[in-house]
Order: sequence, then C-alpha cells, then structure tokens
Amino acid sequence: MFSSIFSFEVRRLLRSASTYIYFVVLIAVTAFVAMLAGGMFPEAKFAFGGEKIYANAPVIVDAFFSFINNYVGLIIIVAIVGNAVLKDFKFNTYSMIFTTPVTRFNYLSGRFAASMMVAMLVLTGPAFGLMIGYAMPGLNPDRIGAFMLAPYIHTYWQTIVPNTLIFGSIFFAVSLISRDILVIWLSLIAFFVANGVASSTFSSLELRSVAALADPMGTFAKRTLTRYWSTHDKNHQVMPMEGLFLVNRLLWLGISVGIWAIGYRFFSFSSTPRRISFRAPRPTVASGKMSFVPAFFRKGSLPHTNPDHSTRAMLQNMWGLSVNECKTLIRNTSFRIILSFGMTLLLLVSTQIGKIYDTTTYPVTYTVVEYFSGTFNLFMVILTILFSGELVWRAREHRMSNILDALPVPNWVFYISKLSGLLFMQVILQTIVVICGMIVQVSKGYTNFEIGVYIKYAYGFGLIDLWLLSVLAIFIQTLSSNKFLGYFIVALFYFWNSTFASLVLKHKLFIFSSDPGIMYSDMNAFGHLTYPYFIFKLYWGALSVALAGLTSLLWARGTEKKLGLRLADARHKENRRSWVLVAGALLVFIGCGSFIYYNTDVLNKNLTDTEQEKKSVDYEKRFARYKGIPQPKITDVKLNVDIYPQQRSLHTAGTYVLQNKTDVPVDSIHILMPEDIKVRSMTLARSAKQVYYDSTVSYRILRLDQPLRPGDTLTLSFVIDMVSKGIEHSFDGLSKPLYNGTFVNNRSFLPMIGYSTDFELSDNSDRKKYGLGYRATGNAIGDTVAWKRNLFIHDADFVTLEVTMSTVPDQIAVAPGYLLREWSANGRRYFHYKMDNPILNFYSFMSARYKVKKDKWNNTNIEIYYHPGHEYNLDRMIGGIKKSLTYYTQVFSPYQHRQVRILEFPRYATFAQSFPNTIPFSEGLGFIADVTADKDNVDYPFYVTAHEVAHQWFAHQVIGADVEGSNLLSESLAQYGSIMVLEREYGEEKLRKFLKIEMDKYLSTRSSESEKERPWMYADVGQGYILYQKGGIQMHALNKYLGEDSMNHAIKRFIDKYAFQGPPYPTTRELVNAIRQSTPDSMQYFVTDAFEKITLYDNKLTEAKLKGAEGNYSVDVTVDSKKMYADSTGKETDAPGSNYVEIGVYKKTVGASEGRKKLAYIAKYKLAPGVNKLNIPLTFKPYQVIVDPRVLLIDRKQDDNEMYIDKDEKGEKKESSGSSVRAQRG
Amino acid sequence: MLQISNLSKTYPNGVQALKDVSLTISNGMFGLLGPNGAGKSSLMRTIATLQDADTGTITFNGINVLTQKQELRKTLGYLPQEFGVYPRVSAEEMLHYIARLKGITNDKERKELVKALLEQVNLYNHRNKFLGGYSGGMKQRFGIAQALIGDPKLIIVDEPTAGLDPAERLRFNNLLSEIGENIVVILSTHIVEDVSELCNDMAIIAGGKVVQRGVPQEMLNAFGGKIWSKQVAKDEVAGVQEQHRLVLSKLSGGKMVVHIYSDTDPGNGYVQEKATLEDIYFANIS
Repeated sequence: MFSSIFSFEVRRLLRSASTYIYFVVLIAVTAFVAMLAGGMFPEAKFAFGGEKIYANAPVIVDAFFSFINNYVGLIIIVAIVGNAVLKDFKFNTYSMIFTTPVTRFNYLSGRFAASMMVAMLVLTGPAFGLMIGYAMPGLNPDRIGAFMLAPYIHTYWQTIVPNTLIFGSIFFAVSLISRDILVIWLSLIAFFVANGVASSTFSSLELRSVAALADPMGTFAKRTLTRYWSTHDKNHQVMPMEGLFLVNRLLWLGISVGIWAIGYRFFSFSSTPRRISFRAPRPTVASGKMSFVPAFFRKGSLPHTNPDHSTRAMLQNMWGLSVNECKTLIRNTSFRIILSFGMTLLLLVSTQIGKIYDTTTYPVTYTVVEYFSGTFNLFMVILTILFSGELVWRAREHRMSNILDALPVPNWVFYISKLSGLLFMQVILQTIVVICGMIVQVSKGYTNFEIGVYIKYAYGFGLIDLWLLSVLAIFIQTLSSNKFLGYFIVALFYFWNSTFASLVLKHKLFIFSSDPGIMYSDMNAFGHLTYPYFIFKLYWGALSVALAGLTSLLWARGTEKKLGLRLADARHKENRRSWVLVAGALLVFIGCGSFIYYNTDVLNKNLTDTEQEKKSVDYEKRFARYKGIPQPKITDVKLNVDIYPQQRSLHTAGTYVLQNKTDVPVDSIHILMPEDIKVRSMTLARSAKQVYYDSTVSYRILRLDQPLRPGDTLTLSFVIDMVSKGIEHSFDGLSKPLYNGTFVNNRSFLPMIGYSTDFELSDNSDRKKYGLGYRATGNAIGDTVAWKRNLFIHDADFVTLEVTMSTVPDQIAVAPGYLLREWSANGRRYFHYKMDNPILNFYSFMSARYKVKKDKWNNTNIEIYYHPGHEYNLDRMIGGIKKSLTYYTQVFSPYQHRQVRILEFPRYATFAQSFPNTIPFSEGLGFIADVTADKDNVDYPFYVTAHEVAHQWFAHQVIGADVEGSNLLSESLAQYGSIMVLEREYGEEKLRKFLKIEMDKYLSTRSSESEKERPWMYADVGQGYILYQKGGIQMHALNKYLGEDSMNHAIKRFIDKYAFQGPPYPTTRELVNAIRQSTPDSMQYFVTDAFEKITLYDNKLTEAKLKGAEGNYSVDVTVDSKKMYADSTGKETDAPGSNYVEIGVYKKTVGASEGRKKLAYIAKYKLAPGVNKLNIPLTFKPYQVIVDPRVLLIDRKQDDNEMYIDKDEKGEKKESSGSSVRAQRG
Repeated sequence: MLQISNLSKTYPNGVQALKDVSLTISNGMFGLLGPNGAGKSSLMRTIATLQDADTGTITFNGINVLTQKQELRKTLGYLPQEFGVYPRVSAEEMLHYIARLKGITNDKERKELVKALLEQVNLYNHRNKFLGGYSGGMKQRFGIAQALIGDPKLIIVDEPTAGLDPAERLRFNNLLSEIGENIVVILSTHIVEDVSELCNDMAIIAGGKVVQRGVPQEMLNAFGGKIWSKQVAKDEVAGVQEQHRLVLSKLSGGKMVVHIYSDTDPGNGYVQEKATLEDIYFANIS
C-alpha cells in the first residue's frame, strides 16, 4: 500500500511542470550568485568572507548551497510538502481516498516520503547552479580555486537532506493540523522573520552555543565550527560533521520526528479538520426557518434616493469607500496573524536596541523608531505586497466582480479606494510601531517621547516608500494574469531592487524608490537631507502617478480580462483625461529625473567605483614620478576658518610656513588640494610661477625663481572655499559642514605639500587590472627614507598652530588649542585658539549648539561639549578622563596640555578620534549608552574615553615612522592604556568579559583576512583586528607576564626617548627593544611570540578533581596544552617547547548571589605540549578551575578551558600512579 | 425599451455564444428561457456591460449599451447568475458599499434605503451576519436587494432560482413579481415555472439563437390541443421518436411518459394534454 501511494505520488510530481520550474529557478539563481561572487560583474564588488577566499572555496560553496536552499529551497519544500495532502481537499478527492481501505499511516507516510524524495532531488539544483556559475567564462581567475566535488556532497548530506526532512516534517505537520494553505504560508513567513530576528539577537558571545542549537537550519552551528578558520582552512577544508553541528542535526531530526508524529496524531480521516479553539462552538439556530414565511416586496415603499454620479460625488464617497476597503483588510486573518507576530517580535527585540559591546543605549526616540521601523519594515512590506494582490483580486476571487463591475462608477473609483484602503492600513501599522515604541520607552523608564520625531519617521519617511511600493504592486497585479504570478513578480522585483540593483545599476535614478539617504541625529535632526529626499521621492512619486493612471485605465473589469481588450477599452475617448494625467506625470518624472541628474552629476561629482578607481590610476600614473622629490615641510599654520552651517560651507584664509628640512635646494613647490575644494588664491611669499596645474586632481606646481635653500623658510598663503551645491547622489555624512554638528579636519580641505601616496589605488588586484605594480600596504620597516616621515602626516613634523574660527551666533566653534578670546562681530561669533606647544599637523574644526560641562583635574581643565539632553554619561566620561590622566601621568609621562576636551558630533559616523587636547566623540558612541542597565556590561563610554585620552600620549607624544607596524605604536598602546584604566576601575572579572569579546573579534576577523595576517609588530593600518583586539590582549598579557612595573617602565623609556622628536621617527622595533630590556630571559620567548609571530594556543582542561577535606584541599588538574604558529594564510605548525600558562582556581563567594565567584588562587605553570597533570594545593574549597583565567593567551577554544569541581571522591583511587607532575611552578 | 439587434459573439475558444440575436423588450418582466449553455448568460452579461459583442448593437432608452457603458450602469440593476460574497462582510455593510458606488452619497438617505431594502427582502434580522454564512436563498434575496439600489430602470436577473429549495424559490419569485412595473426586468432561467409564474413576455434561446419569441399565453394557445401523451415502456421511447415528433419523455411514478406534438390525434392510446410552457420549451430546444 505504501509503495503504491509513494510511487504514484512520485510519478505525479515528476510529471508536474512546476517541479522542473523549481529546479531550473534554483539553478539559475545560484548560477547568478556564483558568477557574481566569481567577479563576472566587476562593478559589483561582492566579496564574501574575505578577498583571499575563493569564490568556490568549500565554505563558500556550503554557504551558497545552504543559503539558497534555506530560502528559495524552503519555499519549494513548503510548496511541495504543503500540498501533499491538502490537494486532496482542494480537489475534493479526499472523499474518494478516505473511503478506501488505505491506512492513515500508509497514506500520510507515502505522500510525505514521496514529496520529500522529490524535494531532495529538486534541491540538488543549487549544486549544479554553482558548478555552472563557477565554470562560466569571464570570471576573475584569481577568485576561483580548483574544482572540488567533496564540498557539494558534504553540504548535500549534512545540510540539505537533513533540512529538507526537518522543514518537510514541520510544514507537513502544519498542513495536517491546519488544512489551510494560507496558514502554511503564513507560518513560513513567520519562520523567516523569526529566524532573521533571532539571528541578529543571538549574536552575542554567550548566546552563541544556544543559537547554534536553536537554529534548525544549522547555519549558526556551522558558523561556530568555521568561525576561527584561517583563509587556508576555508579554501581547502570541507565542512566537518562534528561538535555543535552534529548535535544540532541530531537534535532537530529528533524534534522533527516528534512534530511529524503530532501532525499524524492530529490528522483524522474525515472531511472536517479538528479545530484548535479555545471556545466551544456555540450552537446557532439554523437561519432558514422551516415554516414558510412569504416575502412581499413593495417597491413603492422604498425610500426615494437621489443618486449622484458626478465626479464630485464620487470624491465625496472616496473616504467611506477607502475606509471600507481598509476594514476588509484589517479583518483578514492573515493581517491579524502577521501583525500580532510582528508586535511580539518588536517587543522581544526591544532589548537589543543599540547594542555596542553588549551594552544597550537609552531608548531615545530615534533609536527606538529606527530599530522598530527596521524590524517591522519587513512585515509592512509583506503585508503591502500580500494585500495589494488581495485588493486587486478579491472581487474576482469571491465572484463579487459580477456585481461590482456593473456598478456605475469609473475604474478610478475602484482603484483609488483600494489604494487608499491599503495606505490606511499602512498608517495603522505605523501607528502600532509608534505605540510599541512608546510602550518600550515607558517600560524602560524613559518618557521624553519626542512626538515630532515619531511622526516624521513613522508617517513621513516611513510611509512614502510603502506607498510607492503599493502603487507598483497594484500595477503589477493589475497587469498580471494570476495573483500568484503577480506576487512572484512583485517579490522578485522587490528583492532585486533592494539588493542587487544597487550593485549593478550605477545611479539611484534607476533604483525604484531610492533616495540619497536619510538619517536622524539628535544633534542635526534630519539636517539637510529632507530636501534631497523629497526631490527623489517626487521623482518616484511622479512615476507612481503615471503607473496609477495606467492601472486605473487598465483595471480589469467585466468578464473579458485579456490585456489587449483592456487596452482597447482604455483607448476610448472618455479616458482622455486619464491619458493626459499619465503623460503629465511622465513629464514630471522626466523633468525631476533631469533635475536630479543635473544636481548629482553636473553640480556635484558622482563617480562610480570604476570611475573613482580610474581617477586614482590616472593620478598615480601622472604624478607618481614626483614621489619622494625634496619638498619643504610645514612648520607653522595660521588659519581663519569661517563656518556657515546653513549654507553647509566653509571659507578659510590661512598661511603655512614651509621650511626646507632637506639638504638640497628646492626649486618648486608641489601643492595638492583635497577633492572638491575651490581655491580662491594660492600665493607664495617669494616670486614664483605656476608652471603646472591640473584641474581634475587639483595638482599644481609652483616654480620658485630662487630655489629654497636648506633650512630656509617660505610662507604660503591661500584662500579656499568648501561649498555645498544642490543634491548629492548619496548622503556624504560628515564630509562637509552641517546645520548643527560640523566636524571636519584639516586633511579634508587644506592644501597638502608634495605627492601623497594616500590617493593611490591600494587594492592590489585592482592595481593589476590597471597595469600598476604591486604596492605594499606599508613601507618596509627598514626603509630609512620612510623613517623621516611620520605615519600620519607626510608634509609636516610638529607644527605650531593658531586658529580663528567663526560661526553663527548660537553655535560654539572649536579647534585645537587654548581659547584666547571670544567675541562677536558682523552677526557672527568668533573664537581665537592658539596652541602653546608643537603638535602633529592634524586637527579638527567643529561647530554646534553645544552645552558645556566643565571640571578640573589638578591644573588640567576638563570640558565636555555636548548636545543638550545627552547628559547621561558625562560623568563617566569625565571620570574616564580623570582616571586616565592619573594613570598615564603616573606611569608614562606628564600630559603635554592643560586641557582635555570631548566634543560630540552627529552619529553619521560612530567613532571617537583624538586630536591634540581635543577629542571628537560620536553621538552614536556612548553619549546615550545605558551602562547602568546591567551590572555586567562593559562601560564603553569610560573605556573609549580612556582610549582616546591615551592617544594624547600614543600618537601625539610618540608617533611612529611611515613604515609597516607603526600603527601599533598608537593604537595598540592606546588600547593598553585604556585596558589598564578599565581594569583598575572595574576589576579583573569585568575586564575578562571585555577581553573575551575582543578575543572573539580578533579570531573571527583574522578568519576573513583579505590580504595576509601579519605578525603584530608588522600589522598594517587596515588590520584593526590585530592593532586593537590582538594588540590589547597582548599588551595586557605582557603586563601580566612581565609585571606591571617592568612593562610600564619599558614604555616610559620608549616615550622618553622619542616623544616630540622629529625625524627619524621610531618603529615597532624600538618599542620591542625597550620591552625586551625589561624582560627576563625566561620570558623572551613570550615577547617573540607576541610581536614577531602569529601565535595561537589550544589549551584544554580535561580533568579537575577535588582531593582532601576541609582545610587541606587540593585539586588534581589535567591540562592538554598546545601552542601553534600560523603563517600568513593561517596554516599552522605546532610549536615545540614549554610555555607558561596561568591556572586559576575560583571559590564560591559566601553571601553573594548564586553563581558569583572569586578568583582565589592563580599561578603560572610551565606546561609542555600535550598532557600535563598537576596537583594544586589549596587553602580553600575550590569551585571552578580555569586555565588562563585572565585571558592572556590567544586561545581559539575558551569554553574547554574551564571546569567546575566535581566532588568525585572515588576519583582518588583511579589517580594513583599519575604522579608525572612535569609541570613546575613558574 | 431595450433593443437588441443582430448581436453575435464568439469566444476566443471558438464557442459561438450568440448568433445574430435580435430582441425588443419593453417594460415588464421578460423571461429568457433556455437550457444550460444556450447563451443566456452571455446575453445578460453583454447587456450588463460586462462583456463586449463582436457585432450588433444594444440600446436602452437611447443609451448605446456597448459604448456608453457608464451611462447604462447608472440605470442598471444586475443580479448575476453566479456571484460570491466576501467573507467577513455583513449584508448591511455590503449594501452600504454598493449604495455608495451607485452614487448614493447622502449618509441618511443611504441608511434609510439599506434598512428598507433589508426589511423588504426579509434580511433585517440577519443584517449583521457575515454574508459568507448566508444560505442560498438569503444570498439571492441579498442579491436582489443590491440590484434594486439606485432606482434602476433596467434590471437583469440571471438564473436567480437555480439551486433554491421550493420554499425559497417561491419566496424569491414573490419578490420579483413586484418589481417589474414600469421598468424592464429581464429574467433568465432554465426553469419553466419561473417564466410561467412571472412573465408577461418571453423568448426561448437555444444554441445562441432566439428560437421562440412571444407572450406565454399566446404561445400556449398556439400549442393548444397539439400535445398528446402516453405511458410507455422504456424501450419503446426510441420507437415513439421515430414515429412522432417527440417533445419530451419523462418519468412519472416510475413509469415513462412521452409527450408528442401532433396536429391531429395520433390514436394508439395517446391522450390529449393541456399544453404547458414546458412542452413549448422542449419542443423548441429539441
């Protein structure tokens, strides 16, 4: 019986055209993705997990194969399995089948097995798609590795087949229980959304194993396996079936069997499904009474009416009709399901708002509304697409169109009322977002609702895109011959438009519903972005009006729906007005488009990536010959910077004093201007001739009549403007002055001297493409010429600076230096700043409506310039400054300035940056962080402050030479400073949490390194994960291994020697030497491992047994120790020799809440590679043993370093001969 | 006055639904009788502006139905042969909705009208019930109520009694009988009794053509005395068909009864029958 049901069903499915369509779609989609990844479209930069990872690396094959099947494939699984039984109800064949002697089990399992079998065949499609895609001609050969069959097979058996069974069972059970195709699709949508939200929610470190198990797709579990894989592993290793991944597979297969069984139990062989209901059905009185009541109709008694068919009357009616349409949508069950689901999710995800370092922010309105709109947007899009189809097809589906189509209204009445109904629904949804937002705010004790922001976001910007989508979706549905085809086209278009369109199409004019970007900032509100936004929306709105006109003209009415007939109908004379509307709207569309193009591409420069690359290539090819020619350096800067926030422009008049520090005469001065800067004048104080000027890159050469002799100086005066013109193609963040919160630095608008390599094309594969030679990311550490330049600024060493800034009266303008005078003139506010000691030629100019909080540390003024309302963490920042100054001045060197200022700038970028005694700090980073919410949180406003203050030493006192690794001297050392301050303030346990996050960041980022991982002392500027994360961990480790005093002495010696020194600048060699001098011989290996090698540990605690009794405890500990060196591709070799590793024992703290523990014993042990058995005598009762508890070593697996003590007394017996305690105390 | 001239329609699949149909219909209840697939609904839909004809014209009180659709719709009440209802919408709401679309913008007027209509079609007690839960008869009564909104001058009722139980059919026909005064009502049906009960004028349509046209009584008179019946065995029916012009054969109490058309007494045990509309119908469509 089973086999006949099975084979019949398989044959039926294999005969069905849709099966082959699914297969072909899967192949086509995946082939496209493979070609995209393989570099078929050079415009579309699509690097997946690091540039050195092949497009067909096993991990990528696995990712694509699984991803496509987890999304497109899952839809197919549901389509096949969902109908396996339901079709019998759809076609009423159930009555025939249920009355045959087939058993329920045979029937259900036969159908299920057959659909699973076919689904598994269909889902092989992506494998073929990938193979085809990777074999296409025209791919970038650098991106494709050798063909391997194994990854496809592994992924198929490990991921695809189990997932098909898991999801097949789940959705099969849903179909058995609900017997409603709509419920099945809704549950699929619910699953997708829940999965999406869950994956963003469960990304934090502690929840990773939970997520790995909870994710039925197995994606997270696989990620835990490959998370720290090196490039080499990723390119060569096939996904193993082990660890959490294996557990995940077994777990979910088990769960799915259970779910299948529930569905099976639930399914009865009868026509009516069992209902899940909380209410008992109320017996209703049958409406048709048995007795015959004649109805007599008196037509004369009907009230008289005055039908009015004028356009005006129809418009009057529109509100009522629209409300009616909206009501029918809201009554829809799917609306309620999706909505309640969405709201639940909103409230669930509200805990995640604005997380940085696992710390949330205060629920200020914009974060709430942005986060919610983002989360809820998917629901709104789904509902919009779903209901646009529903509205268009409802009358026809319910055969109501026979009545409605013959009613005396023109098409547009139907169209407009339905469209408005949909728009009303969207307004309701946005209102729900607002209400949920306020609920969340109140629940967190925040009551500053900022209704205006809610309204603008939710109803202004939030609705427009939905409206445009509605018009488009209804248009497509009107033309479509079938609702589901319509859905498919709309969904496909939406997906394309929101993902690949921007990769392939070069201008936003071609991306439906696009805009230059909108972002709210408490400081700058919507800034200047509103106008460009609305111009773009006007453009798309005009197109939508045209589409609306066409929709109305082509509205399907009557029984003949062929498009040709409708078109013929639409040509009737009476429709002339509609055609005029369409034509008019198209004119506006074209007009608007031209206007936008004029703004973005004529008034402004809008270069595609390729054009930008070509420009860099051109620059290098023409001017690289001037690289390294003798040029004078800037020694003094005087500036008058006028900021015009409303015009978003800036006017500067200034002078540089240039000094020839070389030992040869300089006969011409090369001046390079940053992009988009208008030069009003550029004059030298000596007679000179402009002998060369290039406008495209603004490069000019002034030849001096009399060469500048060594040591001589020369003044350069200039007047320049930075202006904003019209609409830019994309929001450019902080690059130009803003209405409130201007933050620009000198490198973005002031002249630079000499050829700068900063503007060269840096990506080596691109360089190859354009015929440029290989370019190292940094100069060799031994390049003595490069020692003469510092890392940041090539055209100056230390300079003196004096700035007069002006701005509008209600703003404060700030530049580095001490305020000498403030005055008002010409309706503007002036500030005169002067620096009293030389600084790097790198400084910021800021202007905003600030409030200032002042404090003092010894004789140093502390000032925080903040946006009113952002008072939350000011004290933490001030505390951070004070603690930092205290520690740094105590252990490193005196502070060179008399003030420290933190200045807030808009959240368009989230960083903090240290300029001389001036620290711009992003609104989005720390000003609204809620560090009080959870005691375990990392206080990152404090920590970031400490890091930036440390830069006053590491960057502004000592700056490295322009060679590889020099960034270590600023970033890693600043990181060290802040970690030490953090540890002193918050203790070791909290630091441990912080270091674990840093460890994870380092390990996972190195895993997708695009070039090659360098040892720490050679790390280049792009390798933040080495400079910050690994750097911080290792500096802290060195501190613990060498002792705090020796370490700080070493750094102090280094500072003393190099602070404020001009060329030659120090390199990392000098720092390492300084540290080595403070390192005993036994620890030299550790310094070598840290700086010169890529060192990884794999320590594992395999046993921890308690021995002895009260007062005489000891623990037997077995540790598996392993150290490896990795090469630049991540290939590892075991390192011989023993290493010092800390082992800590915790005790449970009395009285404290459960789970609280204290590190009560810690000591270094010298562990040999392999198994080490130790006995640790203790004076207290141990609770937990942790190898390397202070997170000093780079260990890829931290979880297996800890063990709770099991009170296994019998263990004593087993452990008798194991006296091989090779390890010694260190 | 509805004037249909030389109306023809062929569907894209090749079915010729209407062949040169010409009819003139004046005020009163006009019955359009025909078997399934005769072209009744095609004709009704064409008159109701839902479908175009290939050739021919329809005019109603000076309105060219095929080109001035919007004008005709203003005076039209249409109860389609087949119509569904929205789930989760009550009769009252739906009537309000249709009334709005029929141009009754005044809220008060519309409320009164809807209330009166619901009362008159005996649905007032069920007005808040979702239409999806209505029985067939209630649905048809709702259908006629919506067709009557806006004082239509032309009402088209397409097979309204198909599938109704006898009581509901009677109730429905009672309703219909009252609305045919002073306006054109076209009732299409395949149930002979509907026409004989309600119509003062009729046409029989078969195979897309009008095969008989006239006042029911006159037609009956024309058939008067020419219908003869006889009870026969089942296997004799074929023989009867060979010998006579067989109008219909039907079962009566388990026995086969044949009706034949004959100007003269065929003898052989045939009994003269009073002609019914059924006989005329079958005589015309066979």
